[in-house]
Amino acid sequence: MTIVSVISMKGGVGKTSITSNLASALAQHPSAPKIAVIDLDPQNALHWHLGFSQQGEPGVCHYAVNAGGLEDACLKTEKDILCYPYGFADELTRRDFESLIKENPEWLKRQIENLKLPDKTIFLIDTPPGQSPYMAQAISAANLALVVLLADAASYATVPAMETAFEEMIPLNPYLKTAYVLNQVNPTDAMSTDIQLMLEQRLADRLVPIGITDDEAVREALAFQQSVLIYDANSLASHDFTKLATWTLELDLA
Amino acid sequence: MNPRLVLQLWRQRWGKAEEGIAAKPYVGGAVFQWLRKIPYSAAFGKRSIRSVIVLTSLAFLMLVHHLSFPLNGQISFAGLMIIIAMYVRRIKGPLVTLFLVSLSLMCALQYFGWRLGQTISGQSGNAFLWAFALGSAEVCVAFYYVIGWINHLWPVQQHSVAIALDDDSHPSVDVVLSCSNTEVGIAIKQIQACTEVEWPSKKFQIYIVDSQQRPALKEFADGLEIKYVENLSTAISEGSGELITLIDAQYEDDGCIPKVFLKHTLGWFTEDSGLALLYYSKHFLALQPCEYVRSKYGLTSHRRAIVRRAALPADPSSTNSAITSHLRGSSALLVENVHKVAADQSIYLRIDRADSTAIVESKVRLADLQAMLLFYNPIVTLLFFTAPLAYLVWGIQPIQASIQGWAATVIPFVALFAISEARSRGKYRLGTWKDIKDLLLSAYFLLPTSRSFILTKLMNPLVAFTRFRSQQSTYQWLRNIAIYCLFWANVTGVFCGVWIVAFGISKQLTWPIFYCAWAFINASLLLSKKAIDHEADEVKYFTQKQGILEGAIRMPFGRSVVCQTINFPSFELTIKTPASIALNAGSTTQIVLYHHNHAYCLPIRVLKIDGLLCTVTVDQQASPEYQKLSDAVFARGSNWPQWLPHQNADKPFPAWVYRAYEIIPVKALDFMTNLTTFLRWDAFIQLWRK
Repeated sequence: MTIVSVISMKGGVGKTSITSNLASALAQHPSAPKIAVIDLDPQNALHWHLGFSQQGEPGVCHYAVNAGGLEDACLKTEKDILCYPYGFADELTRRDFESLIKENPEWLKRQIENLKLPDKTIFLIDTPPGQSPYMAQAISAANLALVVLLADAASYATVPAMETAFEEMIPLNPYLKTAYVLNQVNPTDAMSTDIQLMLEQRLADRLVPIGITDDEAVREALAFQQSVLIYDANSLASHDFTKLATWTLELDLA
Repeated sequence: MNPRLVLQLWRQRWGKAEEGIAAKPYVGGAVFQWLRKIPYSAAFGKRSIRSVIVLTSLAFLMLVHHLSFPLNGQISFAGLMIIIAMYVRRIKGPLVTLFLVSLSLMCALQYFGWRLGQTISGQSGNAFLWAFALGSAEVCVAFYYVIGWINHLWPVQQHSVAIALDDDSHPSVDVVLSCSNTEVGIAIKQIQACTEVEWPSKKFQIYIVDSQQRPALKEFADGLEIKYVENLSTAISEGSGELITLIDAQYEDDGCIPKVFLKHTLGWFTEDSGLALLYYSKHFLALQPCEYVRSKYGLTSHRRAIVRRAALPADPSSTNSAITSHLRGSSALLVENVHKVAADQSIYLRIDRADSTAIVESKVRLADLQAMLLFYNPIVTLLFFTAPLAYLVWGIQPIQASIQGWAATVIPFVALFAISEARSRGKYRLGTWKDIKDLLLSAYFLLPTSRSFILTKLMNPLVAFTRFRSQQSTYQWLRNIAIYCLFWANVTGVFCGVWIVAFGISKQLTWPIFYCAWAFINASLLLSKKAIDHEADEVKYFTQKQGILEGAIRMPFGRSVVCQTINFPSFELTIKTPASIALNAGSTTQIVLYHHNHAYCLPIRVLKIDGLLCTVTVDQQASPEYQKLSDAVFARGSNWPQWLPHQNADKPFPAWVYRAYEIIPVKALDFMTNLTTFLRWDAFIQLWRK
């Protein structure tokens, strides 16, 4: 099983939209394996991106605290993507959940193993920004940590902190591979292209060769609770996500 | 097939092209200045003197044709001809080219007189047939070249003479656009196109002629501050430009008057101050017999003309027919766009003196004759590629002469033809020794090219088979089979020649060696031709493949639509989109083209939208960026094409030979001048070690 955790040190870079759109792109790929996504972000927004609009329903957080399993929180999209939302949780439940995952660094890994999904499944994990117990869980379970950056100076400044965090987390998962993906790239903006060049120099082949272009269609698709690939298949962002999906499938994470 | 082509290709491949084009301009100097004046002497203007020269030349040609020198005499004659040609070729001018062509013709006449008279007549049966066929092939080739030279001296198709726009010395131009009988919409489009014509604005004035006096047109012209008049004579009398361009809007294409029209055509006026008129065949100023030319060349329907103001009648109110009759007899050019080569260069059909039926007719007949010779070229080529086999395999001698006699006749003939051909290539030339060195290098280059081609292509059956399968066209397939058959036939000929020489089958060794060398050169030429064909195929394939680039068009409100280019790197890009796009013709936006994960963003203007196909033009300001992308896309790998020989293939010996050639004389000189030092035993040991 390939487990990809989508992380970043900075908020608002588009982790959730990348997770949901990448999941859709992977599901639409001709050689698509089983796709599953889990939301570890207390904002509980991933299911919204995937077309589920229920509010106040329990999710991963609730079932974890109440001795349930991930399968209890499972939702299934039209494209057969398995979605495990964070779910509604009051403050106390959230604190309990965070204590639980702090005490059991490999909780998520074991939960995913218990799901007994097919070997070729790709499991995407959406996380909240910055270092947190959620990020530690995601890194502990993942084969690949996909760091989302914006092509701006603020994101560029977070790269050293991210590198330090990876070094600190080596004991959790010594075999973890890391890659950085640029979101909202604007080829018409000089600043954006300059940052891209600087990141290429700094990260070399760890920078994913496909950047997600800044496209209004992504935002419009969210308003319609659709994947951008369904909302506007001819948009540049759709093609970028398709290419990113192909890149993910071709990765050798063994 | 020209060995120089192989050399040129190799030089391009290894970035050594500058050596190939290191050409000298024609030299000056007192003697040359004096010689240069001769062709332009006023004496040649007299009809009687011209007649005497022509008659004397013809008599001389007949005399030379009937002359039969002994061997020594022939060598002296040949040497004299070559020396004269090499001296005269340094003087520029078309008359000198004509002189060189005459010398070549003289030598050709002498050669063919000898060849057809003495080397064929005594033969019979198969030997006669071979000899006659080879002789005829030689005559065909000679004819083909001579027609080419005549075309060079009085060309029909010409590149335009582009002129820079930053020169203040350019003539001022009045553009008179006749919009009478043209729909207002079309007229407005043509007026807009006229305003975009590239020419310094200070020297450019547009006049709109509209006999119907339509208010909409007048309003539009006033808005652009363009002069609006009722008739042609008013426009001509009001204007003051040195040149007047007359255009009929009704007969222009949808694409409108090209921006570069003046830039391309006015060069002929600046070159020739006596030129009065330049016209397209259907313009009312066109002189007869345009219909005859039209029937031969299939001309366009544009009605454009450029006339020099000084050549117009003094009375400004002259009618069109009065202007036409006044211009009759002036120096005039018939010009038509034959086809566009690139954005800034077109090939024009240009006929000087189109009013002379004899000139036009003779040009047409010459073109027909050249086309006919080109059509029969494969038979001629086949004869040259099989002639040595006649001797080596079947024992038939196609050239019944002594090798010395043949060499003394053919060498000046070939040398003079080469000089005339080099002369017709352009206004620059290689120096004599450089030319000879290049010629030898071209001949030598067939060897490493053939070797490299054998190693990379023929020795790899799988690659050869794949290439063979990939040839879609039947013609290609047949051509390849024919070339490989001829190649193996010539290789067989070489083996037979070696056999004859090695085992003494023939008492005389000169002809077997000659024919063996001929067959060897044939085989190398054929393989080198294959190498060039492969290069052309690869370039074609590569260009087609790279013409399709992935990209996206920026749409309003931050949206984008993915697209694919069809004709990259044209500045007028045709783009295929997956769905119809909401852009209008004339709107500006941006296109992002991707190459190796790098995005190139270029401003564009939409020209036309036809379903899923969209034609856009790349903004001129972005041309450096676009050129950069084009260079990146079309950059070829360092090991491509593999069948061209390596970087130092122009040096026939290994590198250490050249190093030794440089070091040994220096060391020898050092030894001789420092003898006492080297006489010491330890120094001798040291030298030995070196």
